[in-house]
Amino acid sequence: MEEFTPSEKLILYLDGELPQDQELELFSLLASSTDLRAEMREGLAIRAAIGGDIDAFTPSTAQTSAVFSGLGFTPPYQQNPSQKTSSRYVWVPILWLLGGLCIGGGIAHWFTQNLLNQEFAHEKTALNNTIAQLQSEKNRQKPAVMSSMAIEPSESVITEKPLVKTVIVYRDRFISPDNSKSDSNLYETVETTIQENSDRTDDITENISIVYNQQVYNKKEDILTMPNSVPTLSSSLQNMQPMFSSSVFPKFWTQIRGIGTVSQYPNISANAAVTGLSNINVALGYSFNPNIAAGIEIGREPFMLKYSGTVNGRTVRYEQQSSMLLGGLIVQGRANPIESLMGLQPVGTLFLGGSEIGMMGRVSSGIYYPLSANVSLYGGLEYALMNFTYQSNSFTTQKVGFTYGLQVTF
Amino acid sequence: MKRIYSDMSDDELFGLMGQDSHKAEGCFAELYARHSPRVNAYCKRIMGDKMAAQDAFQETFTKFFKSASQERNMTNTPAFLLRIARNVCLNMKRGEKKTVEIEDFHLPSESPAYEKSELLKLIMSALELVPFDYREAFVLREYDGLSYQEIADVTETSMATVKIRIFRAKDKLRQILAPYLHDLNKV
Repeated sequence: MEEFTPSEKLILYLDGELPQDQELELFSLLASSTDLRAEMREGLAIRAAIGGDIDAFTPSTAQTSAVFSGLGFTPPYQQNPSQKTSSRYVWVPILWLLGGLCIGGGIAHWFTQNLLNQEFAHEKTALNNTIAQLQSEKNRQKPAVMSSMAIEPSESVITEKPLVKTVIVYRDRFISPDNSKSDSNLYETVETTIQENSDRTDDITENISIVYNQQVYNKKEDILTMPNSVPTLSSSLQNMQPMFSSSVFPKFWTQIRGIGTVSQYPNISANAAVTGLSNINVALGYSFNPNIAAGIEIGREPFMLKYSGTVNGRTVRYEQQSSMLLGGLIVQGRANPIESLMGLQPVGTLFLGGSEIGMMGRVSSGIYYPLSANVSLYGGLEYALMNFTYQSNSFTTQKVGFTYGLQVTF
Repeated sequence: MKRIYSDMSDDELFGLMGQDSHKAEGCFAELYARHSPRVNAYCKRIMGDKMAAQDAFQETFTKFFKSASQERNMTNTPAFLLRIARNVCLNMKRGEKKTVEIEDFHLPSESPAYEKSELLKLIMSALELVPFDYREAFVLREYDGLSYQEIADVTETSMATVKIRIFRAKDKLRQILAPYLHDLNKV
């Protein structure tokens, strides 16, 4: 029989190689020797540490690719089974999208029916009052508004006529009449709004005039062609702050944006799967008021997936960075444009939804740079967090990225 | 009834891989999934150098696949794979010695993204200081989980030699790691 030292017997025992008839002797040695017990603790600590050496047990994606490609085979992660697994989840974002559409539509309907109608009712009342007032004037066969250039009103007219101050809303720009230089004695001011290309242009009658830069426009055709007839109008509009009132909101808008990853957690060595349209999101939103908007978003983004599993009793690390479908609801908060900074508009967005494999959320902040009344550039930073389940274990992945895109309002 | 590869034994897969070219890819993929972690661990911890380990890993599986066509009676696939890996690694190390005059072993170069425990890092560094034969026996035992007899078969040595190599490897590791392990015992 081979003779071993107590330390060697301990090693054999821990390796499962010590004959059973020698175990009792080892146990008594362990009971009496502090040093031997310390050795056992050290041996177990080393074994536990090696068991966690996931890096050693996990061939990288590049290694696997090299092996399979070298033999003329397709790497396992590109074969059909994984694609079938993936296609099983393709309905998940679609369900998220449908859910988002239902909820978003419900919210929009509620706002339209309740809050916004109240806002419009106020405007409508004001307009109706104006029209009624003007109609009353007309009935008395006295022009409600007269051009100071065209007609020299009589003393009686000045005293009897209600004077009209008109406010123009041209698209989303607010224009104050410059009454200081006009013969304001001729006009009594009644506020109203008229939006070009809106149904309300039908409300423009011969009795409504618009005063701008000491000029009076009292024909519908003139009003609708004001940008052409008033040379200074365009430049004035450019310099004026967009008017955020219920007369120009709600608005639908769409946003197309790409995402560039700044950093990702957890760090993995697998490269991102890059395919066509693998990193683009499209959002469709609705502005309830100048500062709040909501909508839905759908797109494709790569996410880092890293998880540990057990293969043949060994802990193995898997890494993947696949581009996956996602969809969900977005809520946006927008600050008022900063006129002194070319109209830049800070915006913050919260996204809640899901991807093919689990729920996700995202917060982002950025700015809109208006290119025109309807088109803005967007740039910002975002943080995304996704939770997913693999083999009944829950994992999270997160990333920080910069986004860039285009918003079109219509 | 069509059998799924995952339900088949190593021996069946190996046999089918050599006989049916249409099923060879599926059989190979299944065997690769089962045994690549062990082979990878052996190559990485024996070679030390990451690139060399990757080359050895690839060559091992290439040779393994080609060997299937040679009507071999397979009884222990993991041991067979590790024997191939060992030969590949030894050949590569011999090649290194002919042309490169540097220390036999380099510090392991791992992905910085992967966070290892402090003890694991120390073990990996300490392993580089252990003589090749001892280190190999230690890796085959601790990383690949082979029994002493299997290690003896792979390394073509006796059981007694395997025991001695493992004792000495562990003893050497304990000496190198003594300061850290001493602190561990205090806790």
